[in-house]
Amino acid sequence: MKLKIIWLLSSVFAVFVIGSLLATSHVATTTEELDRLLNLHKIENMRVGLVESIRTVQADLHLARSPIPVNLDSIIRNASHLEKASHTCAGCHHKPELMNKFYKIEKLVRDYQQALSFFITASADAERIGRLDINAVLIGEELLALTEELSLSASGKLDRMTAVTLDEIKNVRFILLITLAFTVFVSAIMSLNLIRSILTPINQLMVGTRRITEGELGHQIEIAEKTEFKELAEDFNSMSTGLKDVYLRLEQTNDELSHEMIERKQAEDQRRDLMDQLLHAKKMQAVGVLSAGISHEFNNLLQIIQGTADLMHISMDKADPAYGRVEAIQSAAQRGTNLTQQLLAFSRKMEVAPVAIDVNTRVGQAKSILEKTLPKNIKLETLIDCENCTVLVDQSSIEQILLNLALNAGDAMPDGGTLRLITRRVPASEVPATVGIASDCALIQVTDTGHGMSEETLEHIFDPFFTTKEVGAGTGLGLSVTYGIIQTFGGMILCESSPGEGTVFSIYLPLVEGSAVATVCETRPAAAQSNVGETVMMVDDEEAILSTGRDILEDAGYKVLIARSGEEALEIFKKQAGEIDIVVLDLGMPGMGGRECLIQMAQLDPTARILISTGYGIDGNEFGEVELSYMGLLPKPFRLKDLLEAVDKGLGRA
Amino acid sequence: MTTVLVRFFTPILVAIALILSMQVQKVHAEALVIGLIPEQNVFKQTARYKPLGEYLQKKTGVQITFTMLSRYGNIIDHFINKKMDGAFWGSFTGSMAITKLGLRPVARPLWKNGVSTYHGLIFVRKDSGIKSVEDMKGKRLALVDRATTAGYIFPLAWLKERGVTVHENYFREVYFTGSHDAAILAVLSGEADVGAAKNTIWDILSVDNKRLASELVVLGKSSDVPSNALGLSSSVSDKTAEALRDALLGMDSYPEGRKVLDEFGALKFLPTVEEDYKPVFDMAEKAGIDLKNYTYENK
Repeated sequence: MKLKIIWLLSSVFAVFVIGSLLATSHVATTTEELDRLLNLHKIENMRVGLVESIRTVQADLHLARSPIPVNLDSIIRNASHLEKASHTCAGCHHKPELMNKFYKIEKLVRDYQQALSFFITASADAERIGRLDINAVLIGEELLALTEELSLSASGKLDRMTAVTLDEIKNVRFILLITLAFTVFVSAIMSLNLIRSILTPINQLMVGTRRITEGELGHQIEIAEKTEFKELAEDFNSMSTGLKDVYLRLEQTNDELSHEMIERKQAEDQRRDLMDQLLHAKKMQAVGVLSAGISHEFNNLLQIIQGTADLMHISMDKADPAYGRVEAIQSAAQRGTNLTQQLLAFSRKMEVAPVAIDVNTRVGQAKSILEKTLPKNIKLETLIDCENCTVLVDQSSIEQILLNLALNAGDAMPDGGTLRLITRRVPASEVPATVGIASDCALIQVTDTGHGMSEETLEHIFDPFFTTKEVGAGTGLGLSVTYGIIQTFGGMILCESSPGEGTVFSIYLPLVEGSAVATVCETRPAAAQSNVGETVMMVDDEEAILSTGRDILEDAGYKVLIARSGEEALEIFKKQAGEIDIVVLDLGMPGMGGRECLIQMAQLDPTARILISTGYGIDGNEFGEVELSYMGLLPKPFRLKDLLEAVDKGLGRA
Repeated sequence: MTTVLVRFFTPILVAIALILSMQVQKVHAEALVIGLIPEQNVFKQTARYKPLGEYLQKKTGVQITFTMLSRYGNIIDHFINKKMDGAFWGSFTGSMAITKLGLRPVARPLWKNGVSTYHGLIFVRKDSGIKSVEDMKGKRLALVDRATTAGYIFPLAWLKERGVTVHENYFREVYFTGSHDAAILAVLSGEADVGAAKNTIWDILSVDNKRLASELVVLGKSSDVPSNALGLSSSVSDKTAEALRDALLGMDSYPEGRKVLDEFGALKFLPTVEEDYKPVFDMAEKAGIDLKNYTYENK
């Protein structure tokens, strides 16, 4: 652009210079013409002066003859003018004929001067003076005649040259006008071109800038002409591209940040859920421990009550007025036992017998029961879609869970609704983190369209003895037991609900391959028989239980040994090895406790028979490593017949 | 600061003072009217002296105006009528002016031939057959002026020496041409038979007119007398007279002056005093002229 500007300005300057030169040339020509014309006029003036001089001299001539001629200097001056004029004329004209004439005039002037001088200065007689006078006058007349002749010729030439010069002046005026107009026109065209060359790219840059301001990042400008503006446009394009790149990177960073924030929020939610879950689990665990402890203690108490009542019942006659009261005690003790059993189930301390079952099959069976059980205003829908879904659960427990949940759902829909039983396989990747299972699961959902639950209710729904039902309508242990059972089998139950929108219970159970696991416990003996004097050692830290048990067993004909701790039991077991046929062993004792005692007895005599009596439930695998010829379970509180049946069974008579 | 101002302004003030003093000198300078005698054709004479006048004016600041005289002899009267302050006198008129008016001679030219004098010539045409005074009897005599040494005093003395005492009766016609060149040309053209003139004008004419040497012959030659010198009236201040003399005497020291001298036909100007006119006084005496009481009138 710089070169273009320089080129254009130089061109404009050149045009002006050319125009000026042309004009100057014509003006010079005209000036020369005018000079020549002026010279001619000067010459004409000289001629006029020359003639005038001759005439003046002629007129003054005779005065000069006076003794003291005052006009002599004037004559000399005029005659000198004659000489100068003729000399000037002769110097300008170079045509031979003219030159001859001027030389002739010059010579005449000299002769005239000489004749004049002779005439003026001579002192002679009148005749001689007259001759000198005539000579001078004649030369003067000749000079005048010759001058007049040349004057006519010069006048004609002067007129012609004047006409030519005037024409030339007209031409010059026209040429000057044309030159000026052309120069202005060319300059205007060049200036417009220059202005356009500058303004067009500036407009493009302005439009580009505006577009970028309006958000069109990356907008490109095309300037074809290779000028500074093209470089500017390239820089502008680079800047625009750079802005776009930066914007895109910002946008990407923003997306990443947003995504990260979402992920963080999800992680936070998940963490919070997990924390809630953990807290819930801790809470449930704590409640479970509490429940188990209470159950153990109550079982011991109930065991005493139950055992004592049973002994009283056996020894009393039905006509005895106290007979019915003992039965009431037995009944109350039994209800108490049921409650402690449920608490044990919640705290996963009950004995279980997990077997491999097919989910679809089991849910189908539950459906058949529910169809008969649920009120008619509740529509039952099933979506059984969990093919080959095998889980390890207690058969009776799973039915209990399903029925429990379904009946709760029925209670939530007093005015009718839809109850759905859904099963499906959930891949490990889709299992919610709160479930805490890393493998494929079978999902069993029980949904209702009932009144739903508030968030506050949801928080406590699995807590023991928590119920929204009327007093006496439920124990508040149903969902607690359900939770405990599912936890026992390594699963998880979740509940989603909101008021007015129904409730969904989702049970996740880990899928297994293969058949059922061997059970630890066997079915209890149906009834007790009278003994044949075999020795039973009862180990318990509760004196009342030992007393009641000894009474029961001795009534049944058994020889009873008593030990009040594990250490004592081992001592007796070592002393009377081979005499003790069966040991009824309490697990929860101070000192070494029942478990260590059991293990050491098994080591001392693997053929020993041990009946574990405990107010806690036990895990089926807890004593998997212990080898004994017999190991049975007698949950506390047990009734008289239960003790006797268990002992009989342990002795292989059942 | 003061030093700088002094250094800066001093030359300017000096220059202004010099210019003012020159202006003052010129303002107070005199304007002189200097007469020229018709030694030759009055136009040529005027043209010949013009550069000299301009030079003197330039050198001295004295305004010089030349005025041409139509007669030699009227010069005394012209001094009064034309209010002349000086003139380039002929030797005879100069002698007369010294005698009558107490004129102060100032300077005269030293001609290119190395002399500062001139002499008179008496000449005839070669083909006239005139070889002596005797042959001149009844002929036409062209003299220059009654107040010229070469054109009157010398031929008169020369004729008297040869026995012609009353020349008006000896010649058929005696007339005065007024200028030396006119006398020479009159004899050359046959207007007169015998002529008298000064050698300096003869020499000038000979340069352009070769006929002089081929057609004329000189019969008599006078002794040398001083060239036409500048003489100033006693009314001219000594200072001006001195300035003019210095300018004339120093002309040959300057290129400009040498150029003017060359055109004038001279090498330089020499100082001139009254004693230089002694040959004229002697010649006048021979011619029987009493300069102190000499009066004449050209007709």
